[in-house]
Amino acid sequence: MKKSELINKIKDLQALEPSADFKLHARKTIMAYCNTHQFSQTPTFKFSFSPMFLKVGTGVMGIGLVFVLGWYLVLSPVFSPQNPSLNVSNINNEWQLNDISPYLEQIFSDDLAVGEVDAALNQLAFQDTLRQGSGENAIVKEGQLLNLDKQLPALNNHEIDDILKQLSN
Amino acid sequence: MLEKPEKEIKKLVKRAKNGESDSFGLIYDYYLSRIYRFVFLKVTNKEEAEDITQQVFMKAWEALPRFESEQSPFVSWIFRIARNTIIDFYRTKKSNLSLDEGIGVNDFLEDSPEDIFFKNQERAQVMKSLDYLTEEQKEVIVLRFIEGFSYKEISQITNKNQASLRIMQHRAVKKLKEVFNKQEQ
Repeated sequence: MKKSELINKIKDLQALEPSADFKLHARKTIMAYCNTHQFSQTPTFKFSFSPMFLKVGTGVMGIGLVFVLGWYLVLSPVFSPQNPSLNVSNINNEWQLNDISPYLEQIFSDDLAVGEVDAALNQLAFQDTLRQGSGENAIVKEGQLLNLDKQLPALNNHEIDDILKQLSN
Repeated sequence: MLEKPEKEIKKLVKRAKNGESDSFGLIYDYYLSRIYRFVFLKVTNKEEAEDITQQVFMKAWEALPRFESEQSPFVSWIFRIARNTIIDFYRTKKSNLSLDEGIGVNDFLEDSPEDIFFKNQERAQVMKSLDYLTEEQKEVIVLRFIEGFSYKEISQITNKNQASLRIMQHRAVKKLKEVFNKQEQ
């Protein structure tokens, strides 16, 4: 069967129509619905605070701020003294990385500087990447796994048409 | 398929957006058959198709203030609503038609327009053949060949890129050829 014949057969379904009864009945229903569900063209949205709510909110925020600042400026240095810093800048290889494992607990539990923690974690991530192979290889492997369906949409329409024509032949 | 001049549709839509239900009534008159056919060919059940078609127009009326004609033509927009309403319908009903249950051509009410329509054996055969396609393939075939949309418009309705749609259509036509050839043997 030719494609044009097939398409003509399918196009014959264009003649399918709803019943006259439904057309009439549904029209009445829709019109009634439209009239009872009138929308306003310019939606109005008022966002208002009651003065009472504003006062209470400001009060609570003020008290909270005093507590937070009090903790960081006065109480925190007294109760949580700084730990000696962990020198992670010299960690260069896996053996040395293994050596930091006892510190991991410390990293997560103690109050080290953010930069130090980041440096240690970056080293761990780097070693992990090395173990799995280079990033470039990983991308190539991923690309190979993509099936044809996923690659085809990346082509432009003319290229796809050409392929489809070839397939049709 | 005869298309109402786009300017005229735009005028009606503009008026309907201002709350003129009569203009929306004219839009309804114009698109009802197309929406119903699209829905019916997906759900293959007369009553359900009628219910969903009504819902489509109600949703369209509610969503009309948010319609932006610069983003997509009205026809694509209302078909997208129809498509989403059908998806919602399947989600709630969770009814997947198997190939055996298929089209249910014999389940139509006696002497209903659909019943009479599908008494034509060739039409019934075409309808049944569509059931061998995946839902996505069927949708592309209906929108492309029965509703006469361009790939660009189908892309706006289905949110799929044009390349995928071309591939889907190719596969669907290939499958339909196989089905028809088998039926003819």
